[in-house]
Amino acid sequence: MPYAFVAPAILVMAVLMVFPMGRMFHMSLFQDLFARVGERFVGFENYADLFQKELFWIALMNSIIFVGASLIIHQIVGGGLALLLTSRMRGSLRTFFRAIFITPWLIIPAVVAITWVLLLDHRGGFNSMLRTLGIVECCPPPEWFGDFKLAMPALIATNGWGGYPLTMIMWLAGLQSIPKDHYEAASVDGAGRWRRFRHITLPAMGPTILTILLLDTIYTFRNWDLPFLTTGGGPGDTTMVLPLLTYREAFIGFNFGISAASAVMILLITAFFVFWFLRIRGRLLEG
Amino acid sequence: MIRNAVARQSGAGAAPLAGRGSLRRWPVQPEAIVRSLILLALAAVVMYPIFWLVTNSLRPNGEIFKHPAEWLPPTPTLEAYGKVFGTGLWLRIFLNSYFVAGATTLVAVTLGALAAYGMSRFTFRGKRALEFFVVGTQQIPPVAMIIPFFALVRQFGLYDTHLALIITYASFALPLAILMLTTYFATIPIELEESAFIDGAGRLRMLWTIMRPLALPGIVATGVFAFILSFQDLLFAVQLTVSDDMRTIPLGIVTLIGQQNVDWHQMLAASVLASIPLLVLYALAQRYLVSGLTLGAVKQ
Repeated sequence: MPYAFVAPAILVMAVLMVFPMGRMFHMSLFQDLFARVGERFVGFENYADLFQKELFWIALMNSIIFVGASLIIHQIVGGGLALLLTSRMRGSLRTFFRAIFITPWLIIPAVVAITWVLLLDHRGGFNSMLRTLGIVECCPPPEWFGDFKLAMPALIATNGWGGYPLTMIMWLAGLQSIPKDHYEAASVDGAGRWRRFRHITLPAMGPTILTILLLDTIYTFRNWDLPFLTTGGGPGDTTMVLPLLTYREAFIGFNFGISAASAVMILLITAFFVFWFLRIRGRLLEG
Repeated sequence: MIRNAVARQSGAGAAPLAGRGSLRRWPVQPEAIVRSLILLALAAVVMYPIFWLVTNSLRPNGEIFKHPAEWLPPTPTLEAYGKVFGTGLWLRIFLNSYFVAGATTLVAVTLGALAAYGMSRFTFRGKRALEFFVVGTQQIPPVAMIIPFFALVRQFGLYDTHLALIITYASFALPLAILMLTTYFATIPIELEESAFIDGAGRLRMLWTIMRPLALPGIVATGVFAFILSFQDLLFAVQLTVSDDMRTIPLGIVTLIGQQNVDWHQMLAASVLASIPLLVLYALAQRYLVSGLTLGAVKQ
């Protein structure tokens, strides 16, 4: 009986996730895929080739910076806003601010990218604002996405803006599940705001924060749209991240085997982080 | 444990409580005003990129990259929107996106609800393995799947069809749909079904008449998630479709980036128009979203 309920979903996922997944592993062991001469088994040669590419290590490093910085921004902005939104205020005001702060989540990545390219263009709104405020007066205004030093920070800012609402929503949910009487007891005992945050909110939020970090790592690590549309990996390779490398190997270099190997690496690295987070989370829930 | 840690700090007893009581009666407190002002300032920062997008879509074509730019367009015009609506193509593109996202949502929520019902209401052999499988598939990066998907879609003769996109998006939305709905269904007491079971209702009927209304927040939240997931995708739309008639919104917008120059004017208007449906969807569903989305997302 239960199998009848789960069967349709499992069938779809088996055909459309497990089978292609297997195909990808399979492809990572072959060369000359889709070529007329026929594919040829090469063992782990694609992986060896991938590790010998300097670009792979650059992309790996960039991915780590991109994910790390994005996660920090998402936690600070998303968590901070969630804390502000749960403080005592009129219900209608809360609904209003919540709707405002969720808005970036409802903007599709293609539009997020276009908006930020428009904003950070050297003749764009951000530079105009800096000029009005008198911060940048000398020299030509910076082309944020085109500058070797500024491209990565610009990409991180773009992803920070587009991605913090999901963190905020999950923080809001976690905060709602903390029993109110804990705070009331603490207030009666004369605990100040910081003490209440430190001794009630943070311990109670620990597992939730780890869940958020876990999901955010998965989502940010695989992000292809934003780097592809804003910088395309450039200038030079300063914003080349692993999903872009995977894409480029397949559709520009036509090295399908190396692309598949790179995709497997994304999956393995993600899995590593997931298990790591789950272990910390398990320890937190026990203690 | 937490309470003990705080209890050690006990000193002042009744005084803060009395203070809080009087504050609650007085609606406007200085602290609340400061907090509202901070929120308002942050809201302005967050909304600035959207403000810039919208105001620029109202400028005449030549004024988009004027430096330094005025805050508001001196001569606002709907010219760009006229260009977008002037061609039948964009209407088609919008309809394509709604159709694909709507169908994906229907498939993901239906199959997801069936599976979630099975997983939250029965214990069966292989259930743990199944949970592990569902969580595992969620980690698969889409970029890793384009080549196998491309080959698969070609093989089934579905290249350049909406069906290919719907199947693809549904398979990516399913794991999350199952996880969210399973946790949501688990919060609904089983006793409600037992009485219906005695009355002779079948399992499917119970799912429809009892679970559906009770789990509505969770179902709506899952639906919104699935809708957004398929509505925003560019990667698969680029790889699995080729003709103008099949284009979805993100692809339609990106197609305006030409080899030589970018049609910023049309692109900005299309971007604004593309953003409206999800904002409306949120406004309609937000009542359910906050409870439904969060419960599923956090408890997994």
